[in-house]
Amino acid sequence: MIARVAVGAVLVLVAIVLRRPIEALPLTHVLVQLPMLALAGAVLAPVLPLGRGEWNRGGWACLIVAGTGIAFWMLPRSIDAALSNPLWETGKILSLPLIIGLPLRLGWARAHPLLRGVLKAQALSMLGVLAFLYTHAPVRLCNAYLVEDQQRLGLGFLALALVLAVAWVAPLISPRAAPRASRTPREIMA
Amino acid sequence: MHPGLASLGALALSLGALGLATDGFAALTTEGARRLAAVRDAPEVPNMRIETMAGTIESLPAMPQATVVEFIYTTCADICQAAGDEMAQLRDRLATGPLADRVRLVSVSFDPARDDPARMADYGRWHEADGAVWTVARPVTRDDLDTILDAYGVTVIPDRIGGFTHNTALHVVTPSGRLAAILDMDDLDGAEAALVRVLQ
Repeated sequence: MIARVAVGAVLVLVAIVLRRPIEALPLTHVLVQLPMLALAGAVLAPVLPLGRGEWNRGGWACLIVAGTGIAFWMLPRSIDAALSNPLWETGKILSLPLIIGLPLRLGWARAHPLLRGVLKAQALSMLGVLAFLYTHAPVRLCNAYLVEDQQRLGLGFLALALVLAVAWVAPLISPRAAPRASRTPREIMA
Repeated sequence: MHPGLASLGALALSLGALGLATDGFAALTTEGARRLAAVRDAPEVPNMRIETMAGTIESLPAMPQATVVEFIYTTCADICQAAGDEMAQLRDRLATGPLADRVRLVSVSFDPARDDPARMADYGRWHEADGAVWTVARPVTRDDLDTILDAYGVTVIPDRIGGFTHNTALHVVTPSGRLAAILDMDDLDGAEAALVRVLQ
């Protein structure tokens, strides 16, 4: 419990103290700081008495909240606003743990494996689209960042998509994961 | 609570929040949002004093004329030179026709430390701005610069090679001092249409 709170607090503190250098580039702003803040909320999820009720069966409500938070902070104008307005910056630091990290884990814990698979596939395709968009957009999407830095963020999205694809597919091709050849579903039924 | 009900509630909140955050799913970027705000709300811009390339002081916007404002810095190698050419073309298009003498064109430098009247006059000469319809000008103080950039929604960032990058556009201000349209720098048809609209 204390360890988890400490880890969460350290993540948030580091994100706040180092925000100038981290936010100087969109690559580190979006792919280092935002995940750090979300992680701060996620580490707290298992020790909080939340999300155990009937309302969260299947994890849907929590995942919708987390998905909304992700969509919100994917808007280029939200990122611009956080950089130019201290109120938005404060909102970012609070909402990433509370609206994304925490509910994502509370929902994920109760989500059907099929839903998890769909969300993983969705995340990979979304990162692919973002990678294409940010490397090819002829205009700057954030007023606060240069176009070459925007393209680097696009490459970052691509790298993240590849890493996640490997991480999520690897267990599926391990010898223990798939049903044995002699035990196909049809044979089991027969 | 039934999980379906909780999910529906979350979904409704989600759509509401994202709708608010995007002006009704109409603007995903800061640039899109400020252009939409200009068309929807036509916010008033502050009446500022600016120093022209001739060393004179005039008002921005140039009420009771309509004003087309763009932001530049004279040592810029590429986009501000193209912007100057577009502004010259716009001046020529407005010279004859019903809009003649009813519109002031101003290129505002956001680098007032380097862009003194002599430099601005050089930029004016390169692009044939003679001050009659179109002039090049700079804010009088650093605070004025911030006020103007903030009012028009322009963000200027260093480009790491000694220059700047900014959201370049044509800003159309009504004769009563409202920012009524923001258009791409080369959208001269759009600028002309907006001027016709605000001068009706």
